[in-house]
Amino acid sequence: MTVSKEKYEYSKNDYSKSSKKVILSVRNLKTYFPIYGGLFKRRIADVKAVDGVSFDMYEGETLGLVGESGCGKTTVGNTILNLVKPTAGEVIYRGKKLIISKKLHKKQMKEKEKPELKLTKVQKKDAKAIDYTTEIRKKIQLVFQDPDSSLNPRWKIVNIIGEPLRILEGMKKRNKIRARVLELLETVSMKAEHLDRFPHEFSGGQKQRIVIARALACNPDIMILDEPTSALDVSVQAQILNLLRDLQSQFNLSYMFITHDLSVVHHIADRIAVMYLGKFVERGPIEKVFYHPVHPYTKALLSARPTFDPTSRITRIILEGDVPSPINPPEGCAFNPRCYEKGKHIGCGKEDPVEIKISEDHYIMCRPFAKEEKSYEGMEYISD
Amino acid sequence: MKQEVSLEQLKGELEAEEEKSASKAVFKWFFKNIKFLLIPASRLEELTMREREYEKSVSKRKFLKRLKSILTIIGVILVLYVITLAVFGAWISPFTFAEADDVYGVYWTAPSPLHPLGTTYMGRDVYARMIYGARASLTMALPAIGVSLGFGILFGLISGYTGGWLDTIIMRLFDIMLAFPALIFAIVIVSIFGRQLNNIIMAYGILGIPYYSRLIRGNVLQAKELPYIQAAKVAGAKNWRIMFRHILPNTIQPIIISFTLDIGGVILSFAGLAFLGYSDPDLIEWGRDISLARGHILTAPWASLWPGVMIIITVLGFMLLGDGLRDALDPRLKNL
Repeated sequence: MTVSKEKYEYSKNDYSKSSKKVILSVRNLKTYFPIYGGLFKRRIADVKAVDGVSFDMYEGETLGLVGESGCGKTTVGNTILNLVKPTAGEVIYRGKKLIISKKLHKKQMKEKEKPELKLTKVQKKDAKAIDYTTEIRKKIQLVFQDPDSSLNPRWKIVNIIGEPLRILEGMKKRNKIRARVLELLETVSMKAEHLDRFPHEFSGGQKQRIVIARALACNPDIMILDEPTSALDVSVQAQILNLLRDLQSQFNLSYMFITHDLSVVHHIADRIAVMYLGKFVERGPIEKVFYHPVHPYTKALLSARPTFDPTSRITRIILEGDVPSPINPPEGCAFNPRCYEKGKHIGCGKEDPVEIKISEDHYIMCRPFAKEEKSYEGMEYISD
Repeated sequence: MKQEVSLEQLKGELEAEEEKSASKAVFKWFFKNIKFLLIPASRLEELTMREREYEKSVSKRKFLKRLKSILTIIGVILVLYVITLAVFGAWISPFTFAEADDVYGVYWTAPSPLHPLGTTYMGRDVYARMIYGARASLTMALPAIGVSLGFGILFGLISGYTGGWLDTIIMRLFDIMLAFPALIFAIVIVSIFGRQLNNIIMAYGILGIPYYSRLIRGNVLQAKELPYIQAAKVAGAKNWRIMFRHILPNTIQPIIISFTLDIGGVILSFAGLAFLGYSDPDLIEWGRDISLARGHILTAPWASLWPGVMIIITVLGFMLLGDGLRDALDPRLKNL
C-alpha cells in the first residue's frame, strides 16, 4: 500500500492529515497460541488470535481498533510490543523491519534466499532488519486497560515511572531521575507530593495518569493504548481522553487505540479498523467507516450503538448465534455463519475473503457481489 | 524561643529534683534538638514549617517508621536479648562454659543461692546453661534456615518464572526431597560425615529448601501473569531484574511468616537429633536440656522449664519481628 496523495476534508484533527508519514506498518501478521494436549503434550491445535492482519499507522494519528472481546485486539498490540511472539508476518517501524521473533526472521530469510544461488554473509544480513532493542522499546510504549494492576503495589511512584528511565535511558543518579519523574508527573497534571506515594493511595484516574506518565518517560513515537478508559467511570474517561489528545498534539504521538467502546473511538480516532475473529473486516477513515459502513459486520456493530436522538429510529441488525471459536474458525469468511448477507456474494462460506478497496484508504474483507452491477462503488481488488 | 523556655524549666527542675532524672531530661532535650544545635538555620520559623510539611508527606511511607508498632518493638527487644545472651554469655553467666558443662555429685537440686534456677543432670547450673544455650541454638538455627531460605527463594523464583522443563525438573527433584524423613536424613548425613556442627546445619538447611521453593513458586506463578510484570518488560527490564525486583517483593509475605515459625521448629528438631545422640556432645543446647530433663518433669520441673522459656522467647521474638516486617513491607496496610 502506498501513501495516499489525496487529501480529505475532515472536521477534526486537520493537522495530522497535512503530512501523512507512515510510522509503523504491519504486514500479514499472524499470532497463534498453541494448545498442548493428549498423552505426550503434543501441539494439537492453535488458537488463531490474530490471523493475517495488515495496516499502516501514520505519524501523529490515532488508529482505533474496535471489536468484541476475544477477537484479538490486545494480541495485535502485544505482538508489536514483543510481549508475544508472532507466527508469521512483519512489523515495520520507520521503514525498518523489526525482528520480534528470531526464529521467524530466519525462516523468512531462508524463504527469500531460495530462488537465488549463494549469498555472501554481508548479503545474508538484511540491511533493513533491526533487532528489538532498547531503542525500539523507547519508541513503542504501552498503556494498560486496568490501571490498578499495571502498577507494582510494592513500589513507590518515583520508582515505577523511573524504571524505564533507569533501564532504557541508563539514568543512574537519583536526583536526576526524581527531577525527570516530577516533570513527567506535571505533564499529566499531578503534583510533587505524589512522588513518594504508593499506587494504592491514588484513585483510578490518577493511576491511569501515572501509567501514561510512565509510557511517556522515554519520549515514545507510538503509544499502544489497550482499553485505557474501560476501567474508569465516564467523567474520568473524558479527562483521560482529553489528556491523551493534548499529549498527542504536544509530543506528536501516534496512538493505537484498542477499545470496544465505539463512542470513545469516534471521539479520539482518525482512522479505524474493525476486527472480527483475528481479522480486520473493515478499515478506513473514521468518517467513512462510521457514516458509510460497507461490511455487514460493521453495519451490525454500528447499529447496536446507543443513540442520543430519541426520534431517530435505526433499524437494529441482530446477528444470530455466537462468535465461533478461534481454534477452528469457519471455512471461508469467518463471519459467514452469522452474516445476514450470506449467499449474496460469490463463494460465501467456501472461498477466503479478499481485500476490497471501497474508496481511497477504505478497505473491507469480503467476497464480491454476484452481479457485477451491484458491486461496491469504485471497488478494486487488492489481493486475488 | 520555645527551646529557651524549656531550658529554663529544665534549670528549675535541676535545682529542685534529683540529679538523675534531670540528666535524663537533658539528654532527652539534647537528642530532640540536636538538629537545631547543628544547623542554626532550622530555627527559622519558615524552615521548620516547611520541614514539617515535608515530614507530613513522607513519614507514613518510610519503612523504618512503619516498623514502629509496639509488638514489633517487643519482638526486636526479645531478639536482641537472645542475641546478647549468645554474644556476651561468658560475661553475663555466673559460671564459665567449662563449669556449666562439668560433672558434679548432686543432681537435680532445687533453686538455691548458689544455683538461682536449680541444677539439671550432672548437677549443672540451669541458669548458666540457659545463657550458654542461646549461642548454640542461634548459630545452628539461623544458618540452617538461611540456607533453606536463600536457595528456596532462588529455586522457587527460577522454576516458577521460567516454567517448562526446568520447572518440571526442579519440582520433581524437590518432590523426592520432600519424601525423605528429615530426622533420618540428618542421622544419615551425621553418621557419614561426622558429628560436626556444619554437617547438621547443612542437613537441615538442605531439607528445608523444597518447602520454601514450593511456597514461593505458587505465588510467582500467580504474580508473573499480572500486567505490572508486562509493564516491566515494556520498560525494558531483563528477566533477573523482573524476578528479584518486581516479583520477589510481591511474593515474600508467606515466606517471612513461615521463616519466623520455622526458627522454633528447627531449634526443637536439633533437640530431637541431640536426644538420639547425634549431635556435638560439647555443645550446650536448650533442646537437649529439655529432652534430658523430660523424665524429671515432676521432681525437677525447673530443669526443663527454663530452657523451654528461652525457646519460647526466641520463637516469639522472631515471630513478632516477622509480623512487623511483613506489615511494614506491605504498603497497602495503613493503620500501623
